[in-house]
Amino acid sequence: SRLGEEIESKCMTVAEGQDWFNMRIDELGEISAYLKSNIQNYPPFGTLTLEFLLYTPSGQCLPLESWVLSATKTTEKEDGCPLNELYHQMSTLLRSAVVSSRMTPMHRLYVKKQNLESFIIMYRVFENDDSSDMGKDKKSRKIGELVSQYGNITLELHYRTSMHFEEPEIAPETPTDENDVEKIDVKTESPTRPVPIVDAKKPRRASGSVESPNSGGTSASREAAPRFILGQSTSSEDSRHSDFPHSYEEDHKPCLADLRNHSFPFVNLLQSAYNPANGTKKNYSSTSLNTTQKAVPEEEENVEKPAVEKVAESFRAAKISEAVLEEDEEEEE
Amino acid sequence: MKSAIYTEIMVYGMNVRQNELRLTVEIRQITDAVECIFHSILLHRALGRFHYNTDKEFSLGSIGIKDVNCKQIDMTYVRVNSTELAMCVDEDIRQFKYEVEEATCSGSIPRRTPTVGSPTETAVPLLSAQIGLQFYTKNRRQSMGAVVGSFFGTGSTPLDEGLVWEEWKLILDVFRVESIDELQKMRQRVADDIGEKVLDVCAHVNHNHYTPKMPSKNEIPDIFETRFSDCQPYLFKIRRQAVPPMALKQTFTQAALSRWKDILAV
Repeated sequence: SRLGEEIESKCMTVAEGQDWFNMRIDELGEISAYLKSNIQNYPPFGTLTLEFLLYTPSGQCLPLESWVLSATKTTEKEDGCPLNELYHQMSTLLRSAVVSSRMTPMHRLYVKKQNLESFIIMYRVFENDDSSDMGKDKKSRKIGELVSQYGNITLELHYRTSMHFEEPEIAPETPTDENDVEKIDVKTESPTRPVPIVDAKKPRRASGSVESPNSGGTSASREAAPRFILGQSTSSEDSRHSDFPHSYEEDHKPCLADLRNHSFPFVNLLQSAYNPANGTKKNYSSTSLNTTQKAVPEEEENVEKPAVEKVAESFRAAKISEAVLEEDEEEEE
Repeated sequence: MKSAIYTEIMVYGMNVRQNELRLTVEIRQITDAVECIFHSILLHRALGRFHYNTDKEFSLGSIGIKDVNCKQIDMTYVRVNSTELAMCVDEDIRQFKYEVEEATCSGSIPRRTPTVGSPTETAVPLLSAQIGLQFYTKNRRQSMGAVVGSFFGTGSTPLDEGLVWEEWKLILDVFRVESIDELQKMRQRVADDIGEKVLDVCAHVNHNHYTPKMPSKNEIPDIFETRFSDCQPYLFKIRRQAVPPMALKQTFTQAALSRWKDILAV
C-alpha cells in the first residue's frame, strides 16, 4: 500500500499455491528478498518492526509509523483455539492490517504524493520493538492479539499525527564509511541494529525516474541517500513479463526466488538489495544471495552505478539549473 | 472522547455484539463514509467460496482486494474485490442517501436533529440518521420464526431471517456547508475521523469474539451468503433508518405482553 499505486487483486474461487490466509496478495519479490537477507532469524520469531519514514531531498527524515509484529511462544499451556481456527483468526488479522494501512495519516497525506522533488517514503525492518519516536501527539493501537496454545501473535501500530520535523530527528542508519561497512559481519552484528532503509516507492522500470545526467555529489550526501531498489516484481506470473534481461537466469539457480514467489528474473535486481547503496559488499546470511553475487561479473559491478547513487543524484539533479540539464541533453544527443 | 461504543447483550441466550460508531459528515459525504466503514467491516467478514470434499471437509477460495478512492472524502479504503457484493451493499447505501435527502428536503417528515456541534462555522445541521450492518445466522430450529434483532433497541422491525450475532450501527450527524473552503475542510476532517473509527473497528474485530462455527455442507446457507459467485460473506443485512420510524412496530412478544397488560388492567 505504500507504493501509492491502487491495488486490485481478483477473488479466486479456488485458492492457488501462493495464496495464504485465504487472501490474494501479490508479493513483492524485492521485499521478500530484503527480509530474507536482512532478518537473521527467518521466518522471524520474536519481534519484528516495520517502520516507514518520510524522506526529503534535503536529507530530512521523519518517522511516520511503525508496525510491530510479535510472535511469542507460550510458556504455559493455553486454552487456545484449534489450529484451523487460529488460521482463520490470522486471516482476519491480516485483513485488519490491509484495512488499517489505508487509514493512517501517512497514507492519506503522503503515500500518493511521493515524488523525487518533494519526498518519498522509505521503510526499514528490524528485529526489536525499539521504533523511532513518533512525536508528541503519537497514537498507538493494538490491531490484534491472537492467543493460542501454539503461541501468541500481536500486531501493534504506532503512528505520528503531528507532521512537523522536530529536533533532533533520527538519521537513517546508513553506513558512514565503506570500510566500516565491510567489516560488519552478520554473525557479530547486534541483533538490535536496524537494517538499512529502503524506499517504499519503487520506479517501475530500471531506466525510469532514477536517471540522472550528472554523477556529482559528495560522499557525505551519499550517506543520507535513500536506497532504491529498481524494478518491481509482483507475482510469479508478472515476473515472466519482466523488462529486465534474463541473462543471469542460467547462472543463478533461484534458490531464494523459488522459495519466495518464483520471481526469478528479479534476482538481478536483488543486487541492489544485497549490496548496500554505496557499492559495498555487505554479506548477509542468505546462501542464495551469495550465489547471486558471485555470478555477477566484477567488471559489470564497477561499470554500473549502484542504484542508490543514481537516486541520490536524481535528488541533487532536481536542484541543478535547467541550463545545466539542457547542456547534458545536448551532449547525449 | 470515546469514539466507539461496544456492548454485548444476551438475546435468547445468544450473545449479540452491538457496536456503535458516530460520525459527523457533510450531506455529500454520506455515501463515501458509509461505504468506507461497511466495506472495511465486510472485508473482515467475508471468505472465499467454499468447496466441500466431504460433508465437513472443505477448502476455501481466496479473497481479492481493491483500493477505492472516495469522491468526497480525502481517503482511500479497501474492499473485497467483488462487484456483486459491492453492488449489493452500495444499492442499500444509495437508497439510504436518497432517504436522507428526501427527509431534508421535506419539511413534513419528522427527523432527529444532530446533537453534536457544527463542524465548521457556517455548517447547517440537517438531521441525524442511522444505518446498521447486521450479521446473522438462520436458525432452523426456532419455532416461532425468529424474533431476534432489535436494531439497537430503537423500535425498528426485528430481523425476521434469524439470529443476529453482530451489529454495527453508524450514527451520522449530517450537516450542509455552502462554501468550497468549508467542504475542503470537511473532506480532511471526516477522513481523519473515519480513519480513527476504522482503526477502532479493526482492533475490535480481532478480539476473540464469537463468530459462527464453520458449517457443514448442508448448513452453509444458514451462515454464509451464497448468492455471490466470487466470495461468501457471513449472512448480513443493512438496516436503514434515515428518519425515526413513524410507528413502533411491535414484535409478537411485545404485542402479547401489551395484550396481557390490558387484560390485567381490566
